[in-house]
Amino acid sequence: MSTIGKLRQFELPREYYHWLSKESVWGWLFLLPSLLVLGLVSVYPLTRGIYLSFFEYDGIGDPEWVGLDHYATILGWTEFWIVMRNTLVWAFAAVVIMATIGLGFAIMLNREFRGRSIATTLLLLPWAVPFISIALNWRLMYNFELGPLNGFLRLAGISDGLPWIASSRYALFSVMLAWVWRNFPFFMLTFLAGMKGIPGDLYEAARVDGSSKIDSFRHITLPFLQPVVVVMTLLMSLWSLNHFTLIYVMTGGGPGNSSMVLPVYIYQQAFHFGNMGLASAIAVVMLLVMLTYGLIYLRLYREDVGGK
Amino acid sequence: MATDTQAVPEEESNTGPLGLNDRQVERVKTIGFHATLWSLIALVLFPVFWMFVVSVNQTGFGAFVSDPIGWALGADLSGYYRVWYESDFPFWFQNSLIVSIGATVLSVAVCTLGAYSIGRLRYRGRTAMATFLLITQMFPAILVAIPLFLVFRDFGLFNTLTGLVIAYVAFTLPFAIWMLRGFYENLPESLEEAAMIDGSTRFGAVVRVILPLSAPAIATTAIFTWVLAWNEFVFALVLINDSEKQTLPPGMGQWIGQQALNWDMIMAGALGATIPMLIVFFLLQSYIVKGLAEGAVKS
Repeated sequence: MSTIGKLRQFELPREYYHWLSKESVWGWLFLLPSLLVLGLVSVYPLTRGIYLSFFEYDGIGDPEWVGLDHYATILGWTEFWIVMRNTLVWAFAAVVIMATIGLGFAIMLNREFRGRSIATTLLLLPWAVPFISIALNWRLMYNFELGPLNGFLRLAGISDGLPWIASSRYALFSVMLAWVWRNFPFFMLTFLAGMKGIPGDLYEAARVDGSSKIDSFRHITLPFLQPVVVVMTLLMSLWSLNHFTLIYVMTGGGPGNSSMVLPVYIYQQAFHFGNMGLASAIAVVMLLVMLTYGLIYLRLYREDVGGK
Repeated sequence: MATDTQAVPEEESNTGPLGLNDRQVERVKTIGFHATLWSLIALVLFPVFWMFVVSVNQTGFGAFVSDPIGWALGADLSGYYRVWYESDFPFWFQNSLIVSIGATVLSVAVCTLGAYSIGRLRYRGRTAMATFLLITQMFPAILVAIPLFLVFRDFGLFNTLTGLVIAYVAFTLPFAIWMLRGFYENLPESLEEAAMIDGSTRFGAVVRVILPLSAPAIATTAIFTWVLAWNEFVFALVLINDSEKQTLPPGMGQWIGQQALNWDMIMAGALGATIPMLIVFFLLQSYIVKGLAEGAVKS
């Protein structure tokens, strides 16, 4: 992230930050509580989870060492690859759709008109609905008999109703729509804030030069928004990869495994089937995927945008 | 929407194809813009509206559209009554409040110092620490939850709200530090220097000068932390066993199996769980908008 780049720029010659300089001591002292909490409740369990992934363990008896067996099982397992593919589709397709919708609304809101602040507030409202309420609410939206979506389709005479979350074809996409609904306001706001930072005379100059609105959007707006988009996309895709509630409550991963994503899958393996070792191994694979993605992303970002 | 904007360039001359002058074209454009925007907003808000409709009188879409008066006449609060008196909802609601507030207070106290350290002080290793915080954001919650379940079971923290609060502090901390850090980076350094020349220590300067100044930023961070905690599902599901000790998300999640047909009750509960978020949202809206915008632009 550019902050890290920024921190680097500010670094002083070595003698200024000797380990025992006053600033350094205060720095570590202030950071100590955070490190303690994270160490005990995040890093320690994480290492124990990695350790657990080499054992067969049902949560009650004695763990039994199996080495890399779980990893071999996972990688040769069709089901795992289906779940992995769902997870990636879920995360990345959702982010693209959110960003597009968010950009559309940001363009509309980025002009002066009466009622603009009310419009912004109303569009932020999905963010104020807790995930559990969204999950229950959208389960009703998709209900075959009572749901307003099918109600609308019937009323408009388009069809007798689609099975939505009850069909293996639409389930993942349907849940994704609820996830998009809740998160597009994030993109809308960040785009809006980014647009406010673009100097207005740039557009004026472009207009004088005779370029069209679409051209100035492509050559002024989009490049200016790029750094904001990069950060937001990284955070949102990581949040999406980790998301649990909507899928767990709306479909439970079904029908079959058609909408199953890794977090729900791991939970089921660990707590429904009592395969804590295997579940940990899957979680470790997931961690590796997320770390690889995150680090590649950060590296590209530092080279492309951070350098500017 | 598309036709609306595309039609514009052709109509820039004094009289367009429809015989409209510039001002009238402007007006048509404005009306078209408002019509598009507000119907899209209505579309976005429809699920929330429907949540309310069903919570007071369970109905289908067709029935509601053809006979809204019948819906209004049949409306009552029985869904809300059943949520409050015939389910464990009050327990869950109370537990969610306790856990979210507890985690927010602790997390903000810890993260203020941490963010100040990373955002402001210069020392070797702070870049590494900032990266480390970012990496902890990439830990899958479920990978931490499984061993945490085992650890908490050994230490008697399993199935207690205290344990859940501890887990939530760690869960919310990296994001909170990351949010607040940007604010400290941008404060002028002369502030604490003045206080320190007057003889106070670094800690004294932070408490007396920096904390009061950063109150709005801390408030924003607190809101976000609170929302994370209010929404959290996995840890509560794994670390709590008794329904009466459960928080709202896993508690209400069970309704899917138990209350499958009582949609008025389920929607009443869904709205009930939303109310604290809405209160926070409307009271602190300007902070939230500013925090989101600034956080995103700065980082």
